[in-house]
Amino acid sequence: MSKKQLFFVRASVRAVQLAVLSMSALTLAHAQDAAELTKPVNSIEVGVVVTDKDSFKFGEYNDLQKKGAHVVGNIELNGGDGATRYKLTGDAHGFGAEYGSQGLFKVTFGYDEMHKYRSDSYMTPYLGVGTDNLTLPASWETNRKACAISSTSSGNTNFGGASNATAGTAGCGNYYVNANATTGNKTAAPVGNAGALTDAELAAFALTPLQTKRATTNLGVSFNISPQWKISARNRYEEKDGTQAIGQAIGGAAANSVVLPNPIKYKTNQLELKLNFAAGPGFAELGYYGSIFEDQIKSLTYQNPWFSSATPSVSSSGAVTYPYPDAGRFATAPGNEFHQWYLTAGYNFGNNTKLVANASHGRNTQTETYLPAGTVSAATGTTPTTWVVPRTNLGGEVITTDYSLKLTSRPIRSLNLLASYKESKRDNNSSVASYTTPFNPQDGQIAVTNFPYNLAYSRDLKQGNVEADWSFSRGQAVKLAYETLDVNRWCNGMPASAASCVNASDASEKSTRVEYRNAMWETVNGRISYVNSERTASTYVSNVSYYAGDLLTRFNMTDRARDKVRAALNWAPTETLDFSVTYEDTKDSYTLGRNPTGNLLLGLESMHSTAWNLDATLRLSEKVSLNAFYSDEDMSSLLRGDGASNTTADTNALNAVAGGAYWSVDMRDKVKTWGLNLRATELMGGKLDLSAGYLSSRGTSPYAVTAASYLAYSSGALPTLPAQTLTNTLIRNAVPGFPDTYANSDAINLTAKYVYTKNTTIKLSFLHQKYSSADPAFYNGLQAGAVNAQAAPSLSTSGVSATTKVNGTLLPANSVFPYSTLFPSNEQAPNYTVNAIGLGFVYSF
Amino acid sequence: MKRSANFWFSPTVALRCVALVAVLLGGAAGQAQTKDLVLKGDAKCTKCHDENDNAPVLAIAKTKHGVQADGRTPTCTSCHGDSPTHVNKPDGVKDRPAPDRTFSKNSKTAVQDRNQACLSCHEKDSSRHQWAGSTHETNDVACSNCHQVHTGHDKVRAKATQAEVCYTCHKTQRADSHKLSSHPLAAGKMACSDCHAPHGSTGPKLLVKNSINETCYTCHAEKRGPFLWEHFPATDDCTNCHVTHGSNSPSLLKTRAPFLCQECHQDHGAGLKDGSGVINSTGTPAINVVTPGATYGKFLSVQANGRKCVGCHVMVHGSNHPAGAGLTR
Repeated sequence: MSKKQLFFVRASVRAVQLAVLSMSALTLAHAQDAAELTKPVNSIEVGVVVTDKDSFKFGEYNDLQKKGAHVVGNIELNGGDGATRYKLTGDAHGFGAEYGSQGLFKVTFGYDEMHKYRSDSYMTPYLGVGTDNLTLPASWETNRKACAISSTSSGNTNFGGASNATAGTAGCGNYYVNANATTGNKTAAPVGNAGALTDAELAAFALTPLQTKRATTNLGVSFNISPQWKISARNRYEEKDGTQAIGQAIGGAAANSVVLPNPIKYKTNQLELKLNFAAGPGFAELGYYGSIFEDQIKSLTYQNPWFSSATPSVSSSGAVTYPYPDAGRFATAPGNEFHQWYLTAGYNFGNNTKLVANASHGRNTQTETYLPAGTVSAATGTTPTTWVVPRTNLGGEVITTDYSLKLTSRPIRSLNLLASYKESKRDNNSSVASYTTPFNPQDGQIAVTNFPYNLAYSRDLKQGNVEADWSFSRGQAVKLAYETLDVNRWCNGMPASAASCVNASDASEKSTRVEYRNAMWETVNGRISYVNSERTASTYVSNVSYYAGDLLTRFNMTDRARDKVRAALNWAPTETLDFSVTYEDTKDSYTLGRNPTGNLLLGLESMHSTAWNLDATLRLSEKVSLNAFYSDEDMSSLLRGDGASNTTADTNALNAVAGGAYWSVDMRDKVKTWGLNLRATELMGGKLDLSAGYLSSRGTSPYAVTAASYLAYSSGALPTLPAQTLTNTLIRNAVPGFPDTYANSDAINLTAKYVYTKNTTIKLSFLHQKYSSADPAFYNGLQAGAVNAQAAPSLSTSGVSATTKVNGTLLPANSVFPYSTLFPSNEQAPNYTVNAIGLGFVYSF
Repeated sequence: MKRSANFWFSPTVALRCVALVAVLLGGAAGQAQTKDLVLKGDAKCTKCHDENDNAPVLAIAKTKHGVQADGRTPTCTSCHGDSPTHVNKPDGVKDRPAPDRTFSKNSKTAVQDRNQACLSCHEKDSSRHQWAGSTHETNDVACSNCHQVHTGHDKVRAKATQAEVCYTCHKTQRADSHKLSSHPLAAGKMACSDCHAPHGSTGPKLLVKNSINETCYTCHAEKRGPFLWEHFPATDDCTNCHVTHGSNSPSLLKTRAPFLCQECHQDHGAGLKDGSGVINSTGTPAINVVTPGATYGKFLSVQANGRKCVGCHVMVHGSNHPAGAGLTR
């Protein structure tokens, strides 16, 4: 061989070697690829999120409520061999672990924390936050003047002689008898300022975060005893701690309201055990569910900020003003237990016919020891002898029983049949006794209520349903359903002489549903359904009134007609384009008169809600997709109230002169939500994923209050009233409008994920969120207390108009603190603009 | 000719040919899979369907369906059928026929047949006992509408991403989750399945328990009682006052107090029953009321401000205080 030939031989040998090597390498690479592609990925992520503002609402559930840097992290580790596997997960709020042999057993364990931030503007002068005893600082005026309005003056004959220029009791804050009046009684002069908060008292108000934390521990075990038998157990233990706001009525006869920092220390322990059997056509499950709740704080005692040691006085009109207690106390949620056994069994008869039956029996008990009925006040600390508390605890027991039977069948491929029956009963066997105690003794009230029995509410629901679904041609189907629901309500243990405790002891509802579905065309499918329900209450009694002056018009027990329409249409003209629209319309009409006179409707009269949803998805390529949606909800409820006293004479008298004694409010919630999302994946050779999103929500709640008034007064001189002789009758002028409530939000979200190396990914995110809201709940009353009793404070959607700030908040220094008002707490409606930038590194292996 | 003979029969040419075949074989080894990768018998599928496919399949190994050591683990054909015409395209057919059963959104396979592929194994699970006749079953929801089988992370099984899957159909609930008050789904701290059993249940609305209240008490056990002084609407049905997915009113209330309360309570002495003291946008009472002999004052501040009715009647779910008949203590 020549040198040249030798060269070619050597080259060819090398080529073969390389080819063989290449073949091996490719096979190996393929095997490695396959291994990588089929092996669960482990990952560790660490990062930081930086926010530029404090906002409890922004961080309500995500722990980003404070400005600054927040460390985030995630971990997922998978391992094991064969059927035995484990998985460990964790993040900044908890962790989870799972270990088991698939098909044989599994053990899971986890811990998770969830914070809820409720307010970052709440202020309180109370000391001892977090304990069960709240005290006021030494600077607090301990014998605040009891301020009450005398009703004896009669210097003005306007408004039927009602209005007069009487000001508050000497030493109290301002009182305006009628702020809207244009006559001389509009602005009664202040006669003192002892009702106002002092500088020392204002300085005692301190910011107190309102937040709670749920810490949950989960443990689960399951074991397959055999292919037919399986047993499992799950325990969930949760502790909820923190502080929430709670209102309390305390003070004078007209009840002041103070917003307290309420300590929360709940423990809830839930256990579920199941034994399952499945063999051939039959299956069954026997189970136990138990839930034990305990509140470690049994009561909250608090000093009365309106305390007065004045002796009881009787005004010339006979109204009695009692000395206010020096402290109040309320009972927290009582500890309780619920134990339930249940059995489910089913059988497949073949031919696609199946019967499933369920039965459950639950026992709910509560035996928390009662607190003393009296307050802790020196004046009323000892329970008066006229008060009777017949037991030391309720001896509460509620038995819940549920039975259901469901038969489904598909006798032919195009026909589905369903018949079901369910009974659900709540039988309250708690003790019933006469509790001759006051309605609210903290007001200084000592008279007992006129109806002393506690009510052990019970009910029984029986529900039947038949349904047929027939595909009558290719792509077209119709469904017909008929349902009955009978409800029986009662109270156990009542004396035979007692009236029924419910407005209607029986109600029956019948519903008919029809639905049509069409999927005839490859690119279009849709459905529309209509439901009509008629609920009839057999004997509706409107004036169920166990407590003084409490007329009940319970809407959930009365006649109701409901019509419901739902429709959906989906159009996918190409594989990359998809449109859908859905519509829901529900109308409720409450048709039974619930006025004592029997001919007029009071309470909730009707409800109507509509919801439109539009959605479009476009796949621009395999890597780029775009989604847009729009939702429009409009909900309204019409409520009618009785503006007069309940005497027929008064009602008729008002009806005779004008549009009646009634007022109404049309409550609406209008919410529009829209969003746009763009997602691009595997850019830059598969290294970069991008997503961008915009979300906007506009929620407004206009409440239109109108009154049927014979005084069409809005401004100017007051008209002269017609000559009427009305006793205790209201005279009103209609002023339209209730302050709009709204909550608007806009959010822009950008994320990028870049595969830096084979094992390392960098994540970058940006979130801009703006939130604005207004709510009359947060108007001046909370910021400043009521500036005075009846006169309207200067309201604005942003809070108080006063500029003087205390402790850097909006609590104005000129806040007054009169009798009959709301204790200031400075809570604000949430408004924020927050930017958050996140950077994270993910290591995968 | 000599040159030609040299060319065809020279050892170098022969070696070159061997090398070429070797390279081709090596390449072929990378393309054609002859060995099962994940599931028994999957080679005939994975020889075509790899991770470059529109529907990558190998990630099924990362799921419970890919654990071969479990004797119950299915094969590709357990779900998709033997699909002979798909494996071996018949002559004269332009497009390869689809497998016997497919699960994509635009699948021609009937929903009940798709679901039967899953139920043939999973019907024995206790959570599927109530599937037949359930809302999702009767509305033609396919298992694959919610579940992804060929991926290591099935979105609907993860708390943080589950709601996103549910919102595909339940679009009003998606909007609800962005309202003033909602459960913490958007933050990923709660999943729809904490309350709902999507495979069927004995409760209404596919709830996990027998009733609405029983379901709510799994997280809000402090509201369960029984209380000495019960508030009947609360023990009757939480949804008499609350909505569940989102509200423009605080605490997921249907509407705002005092009106919410006045749907049932008509009397509360002068001022409250008639809406007086409800302030309008200019700060004046919406309905100006003058009542002889009445005391003024609490209505403006208490009724429209702060916690409103609940400023005093705070124990709206029931009170266990012997002097708490007014649900104030």
